[in-house]
Parts: sequence; C-alpha cells; structure tokens
Amino acid sequence: MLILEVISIHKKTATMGLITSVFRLINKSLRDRKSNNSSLKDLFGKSKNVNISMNSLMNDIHHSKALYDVLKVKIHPDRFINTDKYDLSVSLFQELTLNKRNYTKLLELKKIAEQQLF
Amino acid sequence: MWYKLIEIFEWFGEMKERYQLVKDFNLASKNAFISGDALTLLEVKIVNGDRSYKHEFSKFFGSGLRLKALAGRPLKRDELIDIAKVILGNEQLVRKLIALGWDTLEAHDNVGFNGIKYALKQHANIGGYLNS
Repeated sequence: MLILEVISIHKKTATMGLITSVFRLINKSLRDRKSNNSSLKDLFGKSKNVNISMNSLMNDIHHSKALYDVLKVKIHPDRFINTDKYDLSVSLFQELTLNKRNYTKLLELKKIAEQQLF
Repeated sequence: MWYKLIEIFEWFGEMKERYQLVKDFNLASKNAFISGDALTLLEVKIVNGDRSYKHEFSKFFGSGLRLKALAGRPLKRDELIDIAKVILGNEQLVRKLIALGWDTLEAHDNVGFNGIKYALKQHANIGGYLNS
C-alpha cells in the first residue's frame, strides 16, 4: 500500500515537472519571439521616425535662394586662387551647389566658411 | 472577408496621413506668412493629377498636389519653378508623397493661368539611396 502511494507521488511529481518544463520552454520561445519582434520593430520603426519638418521646408522655400546667392559669391574658389584655402573653398563650393535649396545645410556651410575661410 | 476589413482600415489610415501632411504644410505656411518670414502665402490642395504621370501607387482620384502661391502679383515662371524645385529637391518628402498616392506636383499662381507640373516619380530617385 505504502509502495503504491510512493509510486503515485512520484508519478505526480514527474508530471508536474514535465508540465513546468513545457511551460518554461513555451515561455522562453515567446520571449525569443518578442525580442525578435522588437528588433523588427526597430528596423521598420525607422520609417515612422522620418519626420519631415514643414517649418524647415518653409525656410527652404523662402530663404534658401537669398542665402545661396550670398554664399556663392563669398565662397567662390576664384577668390582664393594661389592661397592655401583654395582646396577648402573648392570642396565647400561643391557642397554648396549640391545643397543649394537646403537652408539648414546652407547655414552650416556659412558657419564653416566663417570659421575656416575668413 | 476579414482581409477586406483590414484593407478598409488601411485606406482610412492612409487618407488621414494624406490630409495630415496637407494640413501641416498649410499651417506652417500660414504661420510663416503671419510672422513675416515669408513674403508669399503658399497653399497646398489635393487635385486630380495628370494621368500620364501615374505610377503603381497613385490614387485614381486626388493624385495631384497643387501648390498655390499668393504673392499679390503674377509670379514669374522662374519663381514658380524655384518653389516647386525646393519640394522636388527634398527626396524624403517626394518619396512620402509617392507612397501616399500622389503622382503630380503642380505649382500655380493665384493670379492668371501660369502653372507648371512635374511627375513625382522622376524626382524620387527610385531604386537608389537618398542623396542626403
């Protein structure tokens, strides 16, 4: 009788152990899946973070042309022929022509020109 | 049948995004004009675009984006081109416009019948990376 009880207790503990191990496995797989999903979210969430600022677009529309006209005269490489700043002026002028309608970039270029060219 | 419901929800979400973009642009333009930063008041409207500019994602109705400029005088063609080129130069914005179903960008004067239109797909650098 006692032996039978011991066997039944052992069976119960074995099934409990089996159930807990299955639960652990399921839990682990769910956690892995969640972490994979978060990395996917990071990957595709980038498109949500693309924030086109309309205020900077307004600056581009209304102010970029005037600033470009000023800078293209100031930075023009012909003003720095036979000086050590010629190469820098060439690279800045190339960047200027690439970003002629980007006001924030033009402001950065202006700052660089004021610090390094003049 | 259930996937039709998802399509309907997606359609409404996209429409909201389209109108949000138009609203943001108009609000920024209005604020710039009121504060004196901008000399011209710009307004964006959804219109029917040019069917010859259509692409795979363009909407059948409302595939054109019209940019109206109120300057108090008839704007020259060069000025209209400058305004349109700023938008076309912003590749992220152009890609967003294409993804939201627009295919034509029109720049119009408030006075007269001057206007220019561009096919957005030619300015999105599709198949390449962004320049900026």
